[in-house]
Amino acid sequence: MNQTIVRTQGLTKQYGHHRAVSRISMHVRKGAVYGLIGRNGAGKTTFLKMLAGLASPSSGEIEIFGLRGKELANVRSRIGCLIEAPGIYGNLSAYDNLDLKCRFFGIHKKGYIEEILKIVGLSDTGKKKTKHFSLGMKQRLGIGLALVGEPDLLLLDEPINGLDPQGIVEIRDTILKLNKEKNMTIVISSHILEELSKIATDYGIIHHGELIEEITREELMERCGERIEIATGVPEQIVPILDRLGIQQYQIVDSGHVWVFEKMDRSAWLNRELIRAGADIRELKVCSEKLENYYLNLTGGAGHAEYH
Amino acid sequence: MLNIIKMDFYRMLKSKSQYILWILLTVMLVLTTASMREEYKDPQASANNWETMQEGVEDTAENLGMYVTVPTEPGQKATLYDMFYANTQGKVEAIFIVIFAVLFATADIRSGYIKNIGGQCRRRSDLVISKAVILFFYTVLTFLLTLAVQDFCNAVFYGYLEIGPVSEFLGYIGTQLLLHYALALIVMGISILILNNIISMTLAIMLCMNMTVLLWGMVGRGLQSVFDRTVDVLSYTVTGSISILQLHGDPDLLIKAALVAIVYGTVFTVVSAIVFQRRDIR
Repeated sequence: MNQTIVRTQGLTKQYGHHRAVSRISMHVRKGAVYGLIGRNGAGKTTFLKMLAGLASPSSGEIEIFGLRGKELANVRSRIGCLIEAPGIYGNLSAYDNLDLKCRFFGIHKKGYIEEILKIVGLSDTGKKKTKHFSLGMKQRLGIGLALVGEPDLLLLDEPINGLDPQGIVEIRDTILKLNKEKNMTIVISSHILEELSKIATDYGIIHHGELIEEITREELMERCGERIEIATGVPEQIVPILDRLGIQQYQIVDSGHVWVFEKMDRSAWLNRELIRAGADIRELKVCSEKLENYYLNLTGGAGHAEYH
Repeated sequence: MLNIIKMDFYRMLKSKSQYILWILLTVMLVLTTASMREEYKDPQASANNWETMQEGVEDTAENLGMYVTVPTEPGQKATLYDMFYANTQGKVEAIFIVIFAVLFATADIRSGYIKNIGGQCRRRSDLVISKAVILFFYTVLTFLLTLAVQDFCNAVFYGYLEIGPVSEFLGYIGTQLLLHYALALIVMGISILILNNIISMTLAIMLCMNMTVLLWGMVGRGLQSVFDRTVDVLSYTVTGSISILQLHGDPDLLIKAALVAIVYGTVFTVVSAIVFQRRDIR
């Protein structure tokens, strides 16, 4: 499980004066579902394109399955990818699109295409041309195309982008199934953090082309641990009280909330002290941080959030 | 590599545009043969055409636009060779071949399908070589279709089927096949290099319409002023060669035209393969 199958070192991609990806060094463990989090334009797609062999790095190194440089050509066929919108021929059926890729790999196994169609839930599409497919169906076909050749590494760029809730669930289930049943290592990028948190075992947070953090789910859970959320009409009134109580790790989230990241086991005491000091407390509860907030804190994404 | 060719061949067979273009080519051949029959039956028009064509041989002139006219000497039987020559020189086949070349060469890029396979090739340039192979199949099939339709049209419109001098005809077909294939490769190269279908298609059609004759004329004059020597640039171009090759012409011209085709075809295929190998897939 701990074998690293993707390793990049100082990977950089420069387009003219614009540096899309800057010195990214990332590691993907075998069997992991690696969630690449970042805003639109953060550099996720460019980074995945370099891993997929669709774009060449300006500098830095990629190592996949232990091979690097020109040797990478020997393992390219073990990497399936769905980058940006699914690349499919609209005038062909799902079957024919898959058939083309099977021919590319020289796969003539009977029932092979049907099996992939089944995995991605497109078995009943028959001869329907893909230009008449819904976005979700196209995305699933895109994943199906990435599965041809039974890759060991799957790169999925925003696969749930634009999908309805049902479509999101279906894609998520498919990804989990591939990871569990086929032991596929999956790198999945998204800016829908809540969804990513349901499937990822490892995270890479990318911002302005840089990988600002790489952590496992366990580490993230630790860091996104419990906090005391205080709902108040006047957060500024609470700050001096917290300082006086010796509490140092807190954050004014917005005009109505303050979060405290220490003394979790003493929430009742804190409540009492705040009321005793005359603070306007509407609610005080212990809860855990969402991945989204953790990400925003890291990237400084929320203009109104402060971290003390 | 063989798998990529098989994939592209399957894609060609599944391509609707291929069949539409062949249907249009058939209609075009029927129409041009029908119109040539009218000219052929009119002794005055036939004589005028013959005279114009003889002047053309002397001047090695190339006309702007598509121009299909009966090349048969007045009083002689219109042969399959004559009709094939008339349509080929008029760029009837060429225009359909270049349209297909643009559509086929860029279909995987336009649809994004290239992203499914571009990273998984050992050498991405193989994808360009494969397209070049498929364009050869398409050019051969288009020529076979042209010959079949022309056979039929000759029999229907003229009431007889006369092939003409067979060995000379085969030499002409072979050379024109090479030139048309080279033209397809040039257009494929342009399409891959500029990645814009509208511009590629416009340039391809302009090539077929002999629009470059103006450019080559200027180049020729430029070379003449520098070297003080007349240079017929047109005969060193693919579209120029397609037009210049004459009915019952000099066999040396066939060899020269074949060499022109091989050089242009090779250069454009190699350059586009190198560019495609090095360029990122967007």
